[in-house]
Amino acid sequence: MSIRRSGVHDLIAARGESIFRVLISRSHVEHGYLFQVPHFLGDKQRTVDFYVELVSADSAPLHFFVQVKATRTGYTRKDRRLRVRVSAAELRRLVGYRAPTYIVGIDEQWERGYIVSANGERTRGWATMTTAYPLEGDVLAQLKDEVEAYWAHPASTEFRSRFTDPGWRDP
Amino acid sequence: MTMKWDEFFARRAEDLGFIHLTRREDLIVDRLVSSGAGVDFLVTVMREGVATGRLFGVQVKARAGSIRSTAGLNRRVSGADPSVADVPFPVCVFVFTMGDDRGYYGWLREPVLSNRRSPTLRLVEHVEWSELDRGALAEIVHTVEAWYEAQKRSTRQHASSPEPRSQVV
Repeated sequence: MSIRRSGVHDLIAARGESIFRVLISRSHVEHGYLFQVPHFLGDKQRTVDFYVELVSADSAPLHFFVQVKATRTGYTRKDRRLRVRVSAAELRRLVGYRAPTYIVGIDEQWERGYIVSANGERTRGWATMTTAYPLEGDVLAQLKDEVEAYWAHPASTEFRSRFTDPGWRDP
Repeated sequence: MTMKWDEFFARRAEDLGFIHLTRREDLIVDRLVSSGAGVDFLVTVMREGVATGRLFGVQVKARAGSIRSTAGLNRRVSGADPSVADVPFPVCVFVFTMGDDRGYYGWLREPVLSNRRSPTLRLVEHVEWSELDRGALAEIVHTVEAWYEAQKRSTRQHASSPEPRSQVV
């Protein structure tokens, strides 16, 4: 396999994927490594980009899915929201996965990432996302707790993620 | 799909290497998978958006934990990997410490310009480590460019001479 730059959009996407893999697989100061290096699922026809397993002693690996959106357009002045666009159709497809599913926005220039739930809380698309949940430290620990809680009772109740965007106001 | 720690660290280091190299827009970065050649990335320098054919290789390594200074890194890296001995272009090695994701670099096949008529590549036995950041990457690219420029000059000078053009030592 060879990653060759064929255009600036390909470069931003490739950098976004690498930045995501590095950020999510960082060691937590108290809990150590929480997630395996994510597996890229390949072609652009998929709605999800990555399958991520928790680092755990369980024989059955617990996992979640992620779609990565990398951008070089930065943040809004008001509320400092990351400018990444997600369509309503993408959100509808993400809800169909029977596992916790998230969207990660990557600020490609500053190499930062932010996570938000994509488990049906929002049905309309968006052009910006919250930066309330940076992919670091305690947010990673909370993400692991959330995914473990989901798989403890996968079919019992409606899944409610803590990583909802305060800016979402669906009717 | 769980992986062993060695593989986990290797994949993280590879991503960190890619992130560092692609910070510069004048580099084409090719990731060589399972090449077994001692080079993980083949990097081409571009000028005004056009590939120049000036290549250098990057070998990527991972190290658990973190270090206080570069003295904590193994200097005999090249001895453990002789696969770069005959590579005909500059090769450096990146090491990333997994505890803090910091990067360090040194040369394995170092461009030497002391003799302007015959630029050489030195097979490094004891790596001199430096911290890897944007400035360090600029220095690497500058060194590679200077080595190729010297090669070009040497080729012109020797076009009418029977002396060897370039030496690999």
